[in-house]
Amino acid sequence: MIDIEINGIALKAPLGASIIEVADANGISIPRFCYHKKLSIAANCRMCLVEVDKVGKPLPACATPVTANMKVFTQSPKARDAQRAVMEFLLINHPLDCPICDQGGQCELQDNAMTYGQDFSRFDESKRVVVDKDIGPLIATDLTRCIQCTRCVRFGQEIAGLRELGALGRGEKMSIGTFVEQSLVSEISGNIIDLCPVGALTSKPFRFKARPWELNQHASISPHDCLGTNLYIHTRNGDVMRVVPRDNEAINETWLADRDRYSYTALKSPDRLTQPCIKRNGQWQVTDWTTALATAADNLMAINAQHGSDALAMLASPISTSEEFALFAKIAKHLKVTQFDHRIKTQDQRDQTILGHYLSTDTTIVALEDCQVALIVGSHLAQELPLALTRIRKASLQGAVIHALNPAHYEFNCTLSSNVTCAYEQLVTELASIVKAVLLQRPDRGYDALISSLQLKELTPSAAHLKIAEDLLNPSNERKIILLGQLADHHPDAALLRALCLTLNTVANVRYFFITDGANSTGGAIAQHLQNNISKPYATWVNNAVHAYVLLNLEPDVDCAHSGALVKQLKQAECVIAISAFDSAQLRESATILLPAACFTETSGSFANIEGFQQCFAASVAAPGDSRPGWKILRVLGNLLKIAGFDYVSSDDIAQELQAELAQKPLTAAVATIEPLTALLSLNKKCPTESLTLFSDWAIYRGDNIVRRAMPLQQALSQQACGIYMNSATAKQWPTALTLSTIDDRIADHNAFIPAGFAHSTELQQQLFQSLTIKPTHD
Amino acid sequence: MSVLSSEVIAQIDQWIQKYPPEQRRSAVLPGLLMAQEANGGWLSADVITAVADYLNIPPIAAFEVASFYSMYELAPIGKHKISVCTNIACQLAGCQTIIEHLEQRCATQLGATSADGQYTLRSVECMGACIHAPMLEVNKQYHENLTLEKVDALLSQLTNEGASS
Amino acid sequence: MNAIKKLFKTFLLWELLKGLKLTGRFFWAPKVTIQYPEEQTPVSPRFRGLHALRRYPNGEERCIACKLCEAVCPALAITIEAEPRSDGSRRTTKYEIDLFKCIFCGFCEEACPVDAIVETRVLHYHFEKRGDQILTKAKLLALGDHYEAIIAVDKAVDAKYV
Repeated sequence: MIDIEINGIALKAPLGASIIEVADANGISIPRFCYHKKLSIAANCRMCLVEVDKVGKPLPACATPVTANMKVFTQSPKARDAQRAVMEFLLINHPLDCPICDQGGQCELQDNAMTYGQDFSRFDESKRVVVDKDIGPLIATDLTRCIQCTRCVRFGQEIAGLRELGALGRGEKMSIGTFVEQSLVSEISGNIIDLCPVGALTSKPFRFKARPWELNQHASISPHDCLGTNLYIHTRNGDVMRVVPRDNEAINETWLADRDRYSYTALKSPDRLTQPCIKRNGQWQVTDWTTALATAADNLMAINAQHGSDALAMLASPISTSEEFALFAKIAKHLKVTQFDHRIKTQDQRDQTILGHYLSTDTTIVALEDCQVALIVGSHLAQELPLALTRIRKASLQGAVIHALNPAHYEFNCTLSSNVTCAYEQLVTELASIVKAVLLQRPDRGYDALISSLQLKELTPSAAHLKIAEDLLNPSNERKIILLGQLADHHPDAALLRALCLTLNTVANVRYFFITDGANSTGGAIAQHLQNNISKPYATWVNNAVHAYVLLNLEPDVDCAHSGALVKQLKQAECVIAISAFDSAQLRESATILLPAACFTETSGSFANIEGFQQCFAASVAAPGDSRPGWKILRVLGNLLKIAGFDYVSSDDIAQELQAELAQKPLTAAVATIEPLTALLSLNKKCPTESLTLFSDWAIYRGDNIVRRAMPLQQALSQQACGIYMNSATAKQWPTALTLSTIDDRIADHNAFIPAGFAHSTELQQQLFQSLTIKPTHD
Repeated sequence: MSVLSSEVIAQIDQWIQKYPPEQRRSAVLPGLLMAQEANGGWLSADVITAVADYLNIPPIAAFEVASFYSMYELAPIGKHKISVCTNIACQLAGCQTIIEHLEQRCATQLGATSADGQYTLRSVECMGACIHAPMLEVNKQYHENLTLEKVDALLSQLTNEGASS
Repeated sequence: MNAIKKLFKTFLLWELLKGLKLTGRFFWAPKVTIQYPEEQTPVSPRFRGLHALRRYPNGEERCIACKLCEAVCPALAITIEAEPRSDGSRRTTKYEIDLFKCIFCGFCEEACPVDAIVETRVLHYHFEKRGDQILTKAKLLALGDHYEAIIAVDKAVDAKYV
């Protein structure tokens, strides 16, 4: 720490900090445009010029490191003159269109112009005009307003790792643009809207809809991924107008993924379910809550009495709140239902009997950026957790070794040491080979028994596996992480993949990070954990004939790994109670009672993120029509089922009870006990060249019922439409008559990928299999 | 077949060797220049992408460079690019008459290409030949102490070259 | 002495004469009373009467939905909804002034960067049923079209003081 003085105030400052950092830390305001705390220093706007004692010219505060006994003046006549001159210069070419600019009212240029600008311009030449570019459905451009701070360019280069925007031309003609006119593909591109200090980049869905001063700000949490991204919901007259990030260094820093930013556009979807409905004699009738809930409760009790609790099944989407999960689990417990689960997208939970429920990571989100070695298995991280990838990218820039093992050659926007592509069904053997390579390189610990018991005997680790093992075991690498992505989580042998990760955890002290679905898989796990694991994983009872279903926030045809089977079962069921915010033809066909629920902006509750960190949020707006928050619906349903203790007045009551129970019996990280896990292992030795393997995973904006209805996101998704993706060699070997097949050379050999979450995904899978049985042509 | 010919690649490789191995991107300026020469004097989007890919930089980064410097042409140009200096020394020595003469003879405007695709006239900043102002550069050759006669001779020479080749 | 003066004044009805003098003066003076509604007082070009939304001479509406009038309105009488029009320009889809709330302060007119919302010199209007007091966008534009000639003259007269 050194002593410096700013505006006569004596301050302590860390050596190497810039003047602007010290000033910010001490609440002294210095105007700036190009400087941003998360981006590199460009010093090209010159707005932050300050006077420094004994220096002739004013210096840019962002690019000048503090030195001992430095005397800085941010408001001296000299500094003010410099700042005023820069402001006049910046305003030369800036259009006077604040009244029609969406940034008006929240604009850094406007604010600074009020302080440092003049009310006239000495520039009477014609102003510069820049042609706007179409950069996709999410971001609107008005490049004439650009002041060339290059924050957006630096964001692409440094944070997103995908350099799409550039500063083209020079001098007065310099403008921001893309190489060839194209939509931005980055999953976090929306952040440049927040970064842009002027109105050059604004949100397209929000365009001209509201003014910043009309908006009310409500803190909330994103429901779409397991990080629990903090956000602010901006509302006006009871409508959500936009979503912006809320700083949280431990989770999302200052960023927001596009999925979280734009999913609000679904809230006003015409698909919203606003009234309770009952199907009578095949006809849907609108009814009131009393009738609907009474009918639901009567049906459940009747079926329970008649056929026993095995005739009941309850499924919840992982975007439900912890409070909803808690009540859901309590109802299940009361009815003695064992068939209830939230892991609807997974296929394999065999390890539940051994490990029970546990936290999906034994490390933190922040640790991702400090890791020295990361192994990413079965994950298209850029799409699954865009903000986790920015952390990994940071680690990579600091020299971390990043390996990836995937059924397709995905881009990670950072330097990878290896990006191994293997067939989907080979993921387990590949990871097992890495584990074996690790075990082989640690003969000191006596893992011979393990090697044989793991059925690793026949595996011969390749050079790539050995290299990964070497990095994992390198004593100078202390912080090691293995990430299992959703492709792994939804794998038919997911339990084996997890078992192998936990083995690495024990053997080589590699931290694990199992990416889960939705915002609240952890909340679901907590609810099950607190009810003493009475539930059976969904994957084990998919095909059981069940008389009554309760569905919470999910769409049976697109939200489940076994959608085809579920839709079939639902058709046979007597009673299907769907608590859902959205209506759909499929839901109308499957369900018998529809109960309209609130979306995340309309209900209070909490989401537990991957670390198990419960984050509460309140309702920002009222739910439309007659729809009600999910916890209220379940609470009344519980009353009608005559469950004792169901008299919660607010979601806080449930949350407090939950916290109290959790304090008694906390959910902890998995304790890897390798031996029982090995019992699971029966490695797939199928020769991949003999068959075509189909794998499927939810496309980035198809993962839950909200994003699926966010139109701007759907437009942005067009690059990843529903279809069959194969590489050219595979496509040649297995020609299908299906017109939807697309060549994607990233996909591994003998694999076909079908993005899930589309209405036709399930159908397409079946069609593909049918078309294949007719024609395997290679022999 | 690749956009860049093997000769161009070889030339770029020579430049890459002049920089530290991790600074491969430093060869972007000469790389674009080589590619431009091989592509009839201008850089198409394909060529820029090819150079960028070869140097492992994002295409937009190469495009930024190409759009920054005036020596890169981003649209097809005439067979002969005549660069006339319009800086102070040449201006005092009467480059304006030279330009007007050139515009008339080549039937085009400064900054544009003649309709027959023969000539592109460019105004450039000082090329360091002030002592013999006014000057122009064509096909890497300086022509100094210009007079209208000299310009005529030069143009007929260029036309003849074109006819003979 | 004073007592004598007072006595004379009392008996000679001095005060009465004084009053009659005033009466007489006004009796013969030119009359200022206006026979409303047959006659009307002159109205200032700055008079803040009924609102109107103006158009440009080419027929394009001036209002750009900047919402500054809505923001400045002390009585919260203005309600605006906006969205991009099909040609991409920023336009209102709803522009309403509640004349029961309006206090005719003229701030909206002052805030408007494009002289779209104006208060005309029109002060004769009435409402026949509940809801009529809400001036919708269509009504405001119609008012603007109808009074454009007067508005333009008033604006021109006032322009040098703005």
